[in-house]
Amino acid sequence: MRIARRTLIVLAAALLVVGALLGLRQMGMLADLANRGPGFESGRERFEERETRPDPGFFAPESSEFRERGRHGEHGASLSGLVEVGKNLAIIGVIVALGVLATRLYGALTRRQKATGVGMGPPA
Amino acid sequence: MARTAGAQRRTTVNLALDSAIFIGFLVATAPRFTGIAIHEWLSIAFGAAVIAHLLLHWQWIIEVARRFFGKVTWMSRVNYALNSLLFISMTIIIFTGLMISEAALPLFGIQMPNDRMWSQLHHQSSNVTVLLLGLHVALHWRWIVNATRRVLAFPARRRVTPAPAVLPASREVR
Repeated sequence: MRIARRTLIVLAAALLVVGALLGLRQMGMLADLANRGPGFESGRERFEERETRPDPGFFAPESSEFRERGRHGEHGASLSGLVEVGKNLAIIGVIVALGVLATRLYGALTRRQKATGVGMGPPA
Repeated sequence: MARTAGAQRRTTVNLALDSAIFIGFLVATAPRFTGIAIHEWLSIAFGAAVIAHLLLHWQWIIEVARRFFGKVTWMSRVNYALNSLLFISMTIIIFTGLMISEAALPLFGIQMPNDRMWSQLHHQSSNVTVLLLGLHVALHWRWIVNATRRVLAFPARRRVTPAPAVLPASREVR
């Protein structure tokens, strides 16, 4: 019962986010997102980019290749997709390394400040 | 002893679920690797796993939420804000993913209209989530390392601990 209530609370929070998203869309505030350039998920976004070209050629949304590859970019599985996994893992790894380094530096700095404060002590 | 075993079990469950969520996220963000059907179903399962993760950490969520503007460490505040952003971005990923679904929803006879905006938002929120997840892991790195050590060491230690009568009391098993 308690778990069900908590799950409903989480789902309600998610619904709030979705509601806000739909509200922003209704107000047209998400429209500019469609014109932004690609991020680091280049594979899928390159496909999206080609789709938006003024002269899309065979990548026109109604073309057979679009229908074949779909809105996500690819339908079938491919080992070359492992590159995406590796890329995201590398990005997360760099962020973690930087974060851990920053935390350790901050900790060392705080310890040194405390040690300096204790070492000085009150005047005799 | 029972308390230690309980804490150990909780740590193991947390670590197993968190590892599964992390690996699931990495795989789910590579639809070219899995194919679109697995990508969609994995992402839906991922949503359920995130709910389980939140339920397991419910006490922390409630405690920090209550004391957010009161007596709470600066780090907990940063953590809470980051986790809230992560929840929002993951909700956006899953919702926009459903809006551009090509395998999961059509299976139930639901066809979503082709809207490029949802697709773009899906990609951009997944990019943001990779960054946020990196920060989330960085903030919990110490726990991850300690928990992994504890989980990997605990069963081995239990296995090799002999009965007191077998070995002399002076001999310790490390």
